[in-house]
Parts: sequence; structure tokens; C-alpha cells
Amino acid sequence: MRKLTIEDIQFIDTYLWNSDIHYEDVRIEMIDHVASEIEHRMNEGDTRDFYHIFKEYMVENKASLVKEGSKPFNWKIFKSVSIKFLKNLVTWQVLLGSIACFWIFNEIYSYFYIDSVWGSFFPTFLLVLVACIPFMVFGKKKFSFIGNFGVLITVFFSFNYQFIPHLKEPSTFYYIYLGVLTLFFVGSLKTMISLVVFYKKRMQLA
Amino acid sequence: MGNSKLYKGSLNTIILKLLEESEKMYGYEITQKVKEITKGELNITEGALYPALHKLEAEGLLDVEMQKVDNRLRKYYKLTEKGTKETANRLNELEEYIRTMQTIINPKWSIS
Repeated sequence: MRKLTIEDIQFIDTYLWNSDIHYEDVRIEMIDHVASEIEHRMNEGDTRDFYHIFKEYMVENKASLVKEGSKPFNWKIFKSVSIKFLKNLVTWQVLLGSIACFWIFNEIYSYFYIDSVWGSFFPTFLLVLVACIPFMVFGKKKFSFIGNFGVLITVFFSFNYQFIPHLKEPSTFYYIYLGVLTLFFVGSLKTMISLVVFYKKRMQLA
Repeated sequence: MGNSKLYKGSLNTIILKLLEESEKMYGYEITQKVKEITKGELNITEGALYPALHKLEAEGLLDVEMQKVDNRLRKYYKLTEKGTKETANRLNELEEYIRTMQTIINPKWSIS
């Protein structure tokens, strides 16, 4: 039985990365698929070297591979991760955490006499905080569920900037805004941590 | 015929059915198994298979297990409890669909 070497696998990995397949979980699966097919051809009697068979395979299948693998946004994954996030919003950890954070945020906003500068800074700070978690754990490696969740939190926090001009003084709207922002922040923090733990476990199992 | 649009609507059910019969399978193995069973009549491309697997995984019907095999990582899929129940439902639906189609295409069959 002919098997591909570590160098051959590394070559496929680099080729797929250069073809814009950047999500680690998607690429791992495609590397195995391509490698399995090449090994299959070798063991069926193809006596050519790895590079020739690889080249032939890519001519036949690259379009199909890249079409699905290079999409940074996937509606089905986005929907799935959004449902997970919504379910997290009604967990006791998020509800309790939101109450605590609401009090802290309210103190911060009162202390700094909320103005446009601090108002703009705050959602950005929270967004960066959530987005930093996968970066700190996995470095430059990207994962599809985390990437698609990133789209959701980016849209929400960007949406927040629309309300900042109306937050000049404490009012009912001000407290509702702060409440929603807090709930979303704590919910997204919990979701992001659970996604990072999920991928961490999955990669460790390997 | 091999990649007819008629098959596309049944791809998820085909995957679930194969996983019901095996403990766990990986992507390439699924494509080869389908090719073998259908004697090359049905060829599932990577572009169709992996989105379908990811959708089923996202719906909680499949669970994933990673293993290091021959210098690379391999992602195995297996049915979850929810997936096992859903497989039975979808197979029933598919059988019902095939029966209905038979009565339309070949009415004689439906009489007997």
C-alpha cells in the first residue's frame, strides 16, 4: 500500500491555503479527501509520482473544491451558530452575568458622563474583547463556526453606533440600549468561549 | 444520469442511511461507498458532499471525531441520537415519495 509522506500532505495543505481555503476545519477535511484519492489512484496501479497525480486531480476537481471551501460566510453555519447564541442568551450564566455587567457598565457610563467619544469606544472595546479570544487560543488559525459567529457580532456591534448620538443623558432608551448591549456582550462571550473550547477539544482529540 | 438533479434532493438521506449502517465514516469513504453500491452510477462530488455533511452536523444530526491517520487528520462522522431518529423519518419519507412516484409513472404497479 502506497501512502503519502508528510511532505506530500504539507504540499496539499499549502496548495489549498493558497487557493483561499483558510478555515482550518474545512481544509483538514479536504486534505484528507485529496490525499485519499491520490493514494487510491496509486494503489490502483498509477505508477506516476505524487505531483503528477496531484496535478491531474486538481485539474479535474479544483473548481468544485474551492467553490465550497473558500467561502468565508456560510449561511447554514451562520444560522446554526446564531441559534446556539440565542439559546445561550436565556441561560442562567448569561442572565446573571448580564445583571452584573449592566451595573458595572452603568457605573462606567455615569463616571465618564457618556459623550460621543466614550460612547463610540465602548462597543468597539467589547467587540475586540470577544474577538480576541480565538486569536489568543489559536493564533492565526481560523475555524468556520467562529468565523461565521464573528460576522454576527460584527454586525451587531456596528449597528450599535447608530444609537450612540441618542445616549447623551440617562433616559429609558439609554437603559434599554445598555441592557441590550450588555446581554449581547455576555451572550457572545459565552458563545465564543464555548466555540473555542469545542474546537480546542476537537483538535486535541486528534 | 449519474449526477442527475433527482439525486440531489436525496443526498442527505443517502448520507444518513450509510452512517446508520456503519459506526462512523469519513467523507472520501462515503463517496467511494456510494460509487460501489451504485456500481459507479452515482458519483458524489466534494462540492456536494461536504456542505451536506456540514449542514447535518450543524443541525445536530451528526457528531464528529478526529483521528490522525497516515500523516494527516481525518474527520469521522457518526449519527447522534437525534440523527438516528431523523434517519428513520427521512427514510420513511423517501420510501413514501418513491411509492407515490411509482403510482404516477407506472400506474399498473399501484393496482397490484
